[in-house]
Amino acid sequence: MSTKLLKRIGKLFSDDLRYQNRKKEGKAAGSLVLLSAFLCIVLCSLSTNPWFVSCILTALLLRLALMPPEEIAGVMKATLAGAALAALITLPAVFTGSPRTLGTVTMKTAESVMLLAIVSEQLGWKGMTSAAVSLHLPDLFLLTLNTAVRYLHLLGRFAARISEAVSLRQVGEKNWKTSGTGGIIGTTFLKAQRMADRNAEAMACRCFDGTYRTLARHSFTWHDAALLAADALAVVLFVYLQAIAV
Amino acid sequence: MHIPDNYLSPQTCAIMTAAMVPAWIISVRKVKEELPKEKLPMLGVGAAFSFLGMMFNVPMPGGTTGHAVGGTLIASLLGPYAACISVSVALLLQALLFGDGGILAFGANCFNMAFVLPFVGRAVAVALQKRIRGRNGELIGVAAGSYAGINAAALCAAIEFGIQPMLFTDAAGNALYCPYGLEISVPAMMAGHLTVFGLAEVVFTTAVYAFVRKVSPLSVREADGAGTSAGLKVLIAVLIVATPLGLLAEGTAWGEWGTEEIAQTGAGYTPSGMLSGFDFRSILPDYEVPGIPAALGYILSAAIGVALLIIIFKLFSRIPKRKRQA
Repeated sequence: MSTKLLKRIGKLFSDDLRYQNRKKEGKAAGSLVLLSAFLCIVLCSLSTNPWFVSCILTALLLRLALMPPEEIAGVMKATLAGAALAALITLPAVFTGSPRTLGTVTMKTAESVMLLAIVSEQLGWKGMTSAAVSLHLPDLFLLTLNTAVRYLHLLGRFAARISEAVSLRQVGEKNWKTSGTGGIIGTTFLKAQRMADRNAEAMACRCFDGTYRTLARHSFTWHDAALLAADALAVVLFVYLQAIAV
Repeated sequence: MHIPDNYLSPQTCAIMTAAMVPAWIISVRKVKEELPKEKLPMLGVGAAFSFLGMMFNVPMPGGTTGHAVGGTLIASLLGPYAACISVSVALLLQALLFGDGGILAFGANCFNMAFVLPFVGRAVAVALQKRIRGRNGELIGVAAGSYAGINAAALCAAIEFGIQPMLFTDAAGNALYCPYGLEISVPAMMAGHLTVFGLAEVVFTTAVYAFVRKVSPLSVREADGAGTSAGLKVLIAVLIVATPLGLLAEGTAWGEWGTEEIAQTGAGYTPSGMLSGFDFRSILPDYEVPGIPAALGYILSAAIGVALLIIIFKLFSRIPKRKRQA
């Protein structure tokens, strides 16, 4: 693993920080938004023709058009990257006689990534945790996920700093990259252990034992009703478009 | 009024595109100078209105159809330079995604609908608004401007069609591209636009202009009011859902026939330039999604077009901000 790669990974996790620190007031219930997203992804996966996926992609494009330019750029970057990767992976299908696979998989990937990116922009990380709690997901799972995401960023940044320091001290043409990488990763691991201990102490200080409680109460709004209606419409459309394909 | 590929010679297409280049450059410069960056997304909303207006086909006796363009509407709301950019982008999207209007003829279509229409429309509207003061004068100006604008654009398209058989013929004397001369193209185009299609443009422009002035008065040439009001969003949604009404008009617009149709229109032959000309296959030809009902395909096409136009202009509004921060 080269230092350049380590730096890139560090930057990737650093960029992810903005998602964690974002706090947004979603108008519809977060749990309902997550369930609707899950429903859409499942229906698109089950769809045997491209029409339902096209309809969902169109609806997502309309939702995207209502978002601020900065958020549109974020969602588009993620979507295009995901779709490009999917197209690259399924490219051999074109040469093995099933070119439709390329289009189908790319479209489904673009739909899923765009949907999740929009949900991420809409709810933010804290909102998603809160929504997951209200959906009664196990606390241990949420704590592990939260800690993993946070420490991926912190440790990524730490590893990037070490690799930068090592590269600045490099003298001559000696290839230290392979011999030095073990040291960088080892130091990062030790740092992770110390940070985990500190995190446990901080949790104890805040009387947080890993059990998530949500104090906010969400009353049913017309946004919730509209989302439920959209879900029902999606199911009807799915059944209709699968039927006309037969 | 969307001129397809191979109706105009490549030379004509090149000249029309070259004529549009300075118009685009000046328009971009003027919009950057005059329009606040926060209001740039409104260009997308304007383009979306124009796009939707062009999907509502209106039938004419004789089996031909036409549609409103909305260029004067955008020129009245945001200025003619902004209208030039908005309608150009809407036309580009129509050509690339839906095959409405040719790729080679893009410059000619922009000249007619994105340059002549909004500038003539706005000039007539301003001239009348100076003479007739008050609220009614504003609406009368916009209505007259939209009528004058679309007819000026139709006349330009008719002349572009009509000069083809005069300039480009084969050894047998048959036209290489559009087979109808000025004596046919001008009356054929103008008959529809001076009556039904001109009226459609007036109704579309004044109805939307009056609605926008009522629900979002700051959108009417003010620097503030950058956000899209809820009323405008609802209006766009209603127009998207209503687009299948455009399917009720059967037949093809004059000058937009396919190569298989043109011989039956009275020409008696298919010009050789059309048979061996440029052929571009769009993703959703004629606003249809293969395999699903035409009405649903029409709604999907409208939604995709509107969403893409707004997204494009919103992303465009980000660029100057970034440069300024740098």
